[in-house]
Amino acid sequence: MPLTNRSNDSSAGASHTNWSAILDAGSDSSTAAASRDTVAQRYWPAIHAFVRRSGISHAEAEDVTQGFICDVMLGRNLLSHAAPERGRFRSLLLTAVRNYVYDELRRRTATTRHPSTGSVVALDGASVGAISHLDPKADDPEAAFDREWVRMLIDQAAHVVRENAQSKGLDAAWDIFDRRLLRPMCEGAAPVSTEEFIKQWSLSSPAQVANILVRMKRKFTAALMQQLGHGDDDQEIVHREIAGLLAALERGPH
Amino acid sequence: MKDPASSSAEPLKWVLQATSNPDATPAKMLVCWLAQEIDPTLTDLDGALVDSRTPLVLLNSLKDAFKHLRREGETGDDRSIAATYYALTIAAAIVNHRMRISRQTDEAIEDALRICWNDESCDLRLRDLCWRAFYALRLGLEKSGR
Repeated sequence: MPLTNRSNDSSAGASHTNWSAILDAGSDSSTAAASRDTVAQRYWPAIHAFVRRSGISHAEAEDVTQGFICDVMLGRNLLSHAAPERGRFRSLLLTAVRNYVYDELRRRTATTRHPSTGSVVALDGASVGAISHLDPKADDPEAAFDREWVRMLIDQAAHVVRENAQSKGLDAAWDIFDRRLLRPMCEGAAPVSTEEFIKQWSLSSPAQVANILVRMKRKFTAALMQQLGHGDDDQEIVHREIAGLLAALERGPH
Repeated sequence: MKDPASSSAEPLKWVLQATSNPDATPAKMLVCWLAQEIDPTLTDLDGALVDSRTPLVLLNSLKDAFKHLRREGETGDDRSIAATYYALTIAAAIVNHRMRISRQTDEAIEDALRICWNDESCDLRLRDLCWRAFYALRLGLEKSGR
């Protein structure tokens, strides 16, 4: 059950943490091709959000996103430059996307000024429409990128926790966590009441519901940390990354 | 209804809570979250236990939640800290409301309180709470002639 209605499933290969998939994708291993697919699929929404918010029409944004993934992520093997000790992958990817999009916009401007046909062409209607509908008060490209990044992390962590709970027959625990906390937070759904859970899952008391909920919350937090980290001694890295993402979310309009 | 964009920050805050305080063990985080689940306005569990304005009904709900965790906790640390906080809610009710919220025997309650105040890792205010509850219980026993 996807958390959001987005067409791209960013939980792809969620059993891999961010770093394990990235490192494998940049290597010569036999699973590198599959990891490259996983990484491309996982980061598509964040890259696309940046491209879209840069003023590129919806239709073209898909091509530009695809172009970036093929030319830079895979073609120039951006992933082989990624290493936990060199800093956050988010920063590396964001810088690469920013440069790619600016080059793309510059190229388009140059083409418009000096059309190959020798005549001045009007901007394509769809592009003009897309740009004019951009809300100036809405996200800047980086804020949109960060917001999609956070959604991706949450989707991945949710995927891991759900799989884990269901494999252990803890369907009630997942359901309670999902409908009481996760969906209300991520989708704005109304949280289901404690009484309804007690009735639906034949539980004994509100205390039991509360206990199930916080245990799942702890598992989810651990999964989220796992997605962000790379090893056991990187609590500080995770802490800094989270603080940075929170600051980015607070900067952007909601 | 919450705005999805703004509330997607919430899970990040959970991680921040878990990583910002090196003294906050996973078990301690769990009891704090449990308390907040019972009362979302409760941001300082230890403070609430020593505060005489904390309502008896809230102490009772917290006691039930910790009792459940003491029995069903996933790890030994979870069950152990739940036992401590279970005793502390009983102590808070005795000290701040002069009420017993447990059907445990006096001896059992005294044993639990003794464990808390002997625990040097425990917040001093909480150890003091246990000490006062122990005496209140003793005085009550004397008064009732038991």
